[in-house]
Amino acid sequence: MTPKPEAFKIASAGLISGWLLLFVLAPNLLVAGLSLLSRSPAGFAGWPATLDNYRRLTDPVYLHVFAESFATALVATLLCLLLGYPFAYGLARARPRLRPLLLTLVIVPFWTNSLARIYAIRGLLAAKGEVNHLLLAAELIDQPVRLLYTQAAEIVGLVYVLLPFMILPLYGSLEKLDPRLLEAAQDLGAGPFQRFRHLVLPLTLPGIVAGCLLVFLPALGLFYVGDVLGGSRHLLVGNLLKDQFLEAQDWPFGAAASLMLIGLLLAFLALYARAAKRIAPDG
Amino acid sequence: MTARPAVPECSGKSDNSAMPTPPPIASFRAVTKRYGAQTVLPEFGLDLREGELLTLLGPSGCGKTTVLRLLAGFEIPDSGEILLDGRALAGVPPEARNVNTVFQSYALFPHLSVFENVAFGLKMRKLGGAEIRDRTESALRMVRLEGLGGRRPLQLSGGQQQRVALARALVNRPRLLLLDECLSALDYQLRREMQLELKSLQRQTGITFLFVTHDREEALSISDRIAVMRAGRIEQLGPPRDIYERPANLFVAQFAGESNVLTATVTAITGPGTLAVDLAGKPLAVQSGRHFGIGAKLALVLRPEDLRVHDDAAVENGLAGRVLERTYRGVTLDTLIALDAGPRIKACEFFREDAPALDHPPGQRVRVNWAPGWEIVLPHDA
Repeated sequence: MTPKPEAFKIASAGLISGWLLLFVLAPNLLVAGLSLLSRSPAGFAGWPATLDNYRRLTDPVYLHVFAESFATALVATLLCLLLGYPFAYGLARARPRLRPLLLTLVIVPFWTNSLARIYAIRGLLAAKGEVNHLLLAAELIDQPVRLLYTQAAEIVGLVYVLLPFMILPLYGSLEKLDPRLLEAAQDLGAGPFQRFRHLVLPLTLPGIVAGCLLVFLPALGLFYVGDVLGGSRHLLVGNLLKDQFLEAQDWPFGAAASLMLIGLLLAFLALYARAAKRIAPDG
Repeated sequence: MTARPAVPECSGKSDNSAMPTPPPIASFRAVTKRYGAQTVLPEFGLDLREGELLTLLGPSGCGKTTVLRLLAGFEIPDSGEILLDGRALAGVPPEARNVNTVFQSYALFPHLSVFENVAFGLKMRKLGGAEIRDRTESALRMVRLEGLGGRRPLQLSGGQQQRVALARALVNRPRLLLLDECLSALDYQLRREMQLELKSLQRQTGITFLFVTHDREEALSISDRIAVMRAGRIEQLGPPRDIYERPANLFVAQFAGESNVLTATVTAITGPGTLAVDLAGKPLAVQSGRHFGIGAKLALVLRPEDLRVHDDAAVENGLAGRVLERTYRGVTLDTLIALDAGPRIKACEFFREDAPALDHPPGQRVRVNWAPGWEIVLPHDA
């Protein structure tokens, strides 16, 4: 009976709890409180308490921004899923010796700041950029086409930055997929498509949901992708948030909008928990 | 031949019957399978009879699971051909073969209920909803799992999971059911129960079972025929009694049951099927259907349960020795004896009312004998 492990347990649990309280819970509570205050010309917020900020979120101007941003994020997420799933499948089925190398290739882009990479994409898509050069050289077009400052450019940027966040959780669940289950299904008469539909897809659902979560939510918030590739025409929710805090100086409204995103995140997490539970009912 | 009492054949099947044998349900013809440089099956041949329970018995790595996987279609033979109902299986993928497997790991689908697991094969064949329901329910009844259809596999015990795996395969009414060491994960008691259940399921359904195990007791108690395998070859194929009592060689003898193996030299041929041998200086008369020349070395295999241990003074014949150890096992009393001739042998005696002098304390001088002809005589280098 030594008191040491006990003390270590309390210390480590205390440290983590303290950290979470101080840097996660407290700021979020501040934001939540802020969202219920009014805009103040003197400071950044003041009395009286009000629900006006949430009411303003339903203003058609903002609803339009949300709808457009959601659509952009949704398309980017689906593209990531379509590109990421076959890649992750190949990765999980690759020879064990090859896997670390392939995984590194997925992660290497993280070593460069994503803002820098977005500017690189901007260079590629510019009117005199490489993509137009190639298309001209291939004689597919007679004159440079407009690629930059379109919704498509924005989506290309989002997919490029966020694809690894889709691949990694998909790889995680595909790698855990027991090949013996696929053999059993084949033994019971399931062809390749049936095996995918009845086994691979449902058994990797947690990875799919996790990947979509990790792509969709950042896709709403990556304001610099919107700024650099979408011009100011195609706003993301992230641009809206940034503008409220930095340009319009309307912190309470910005807080309300960001709480809405947090609410969305929680809804997705609930969805994820349900998908994971379907596969392992005991835990 | 041996002088063991004859026991009527329970199945009525006989290897050398004059009746024309029906065509085999499945055949391996000179099938060779290699993994890299290693040949797992060299020119393997085997015929399965309609409705039988055939067991492949052998140590791990002997190729028995490869035989199953070739038949199921998960492995492709390097040469030779496999026939099912007279048709070559080359090029037929596993999903198109009328063969189902009960896997060692069960491989139950964790995201589906027990009912959905069992119904899986029927659903893949796109049968009607009512037929799927009826057949699945009757399969669950057959393995005594009615009422558990709504559970998830992980919520069931090992024995119940095993039954789900059986029902999931049998519900498809395959021509052939392959069972890959599927009882090995169960504890002893449950395994014995499932062996009986398997056998009765096989009789009930009339489906041909090809069963793979390394457990000789299991093989002996459930099989119609056993193929004892070593290094990709069948060492002997026959009914359990033949395998146990008339093993083809020393490997089969030792793999099929506990054995005391003594080395002897032939000194004279005393009559048709009888030999005089020398066992470390002691003359002994043995019976054998095989031909041995004078001076040939042979292996004398004695099953522990065939041996009788007597007080040294009580009998004249038998091998003399000294008791090393006794082990009380409830049903039997096992005695380990160091023979004067050198080797140690084990005797395993049942308690009987008429044998009060069964208990021989360690250190006591004893003599070991057996009913004449119950010894198994084999060439030594088999």
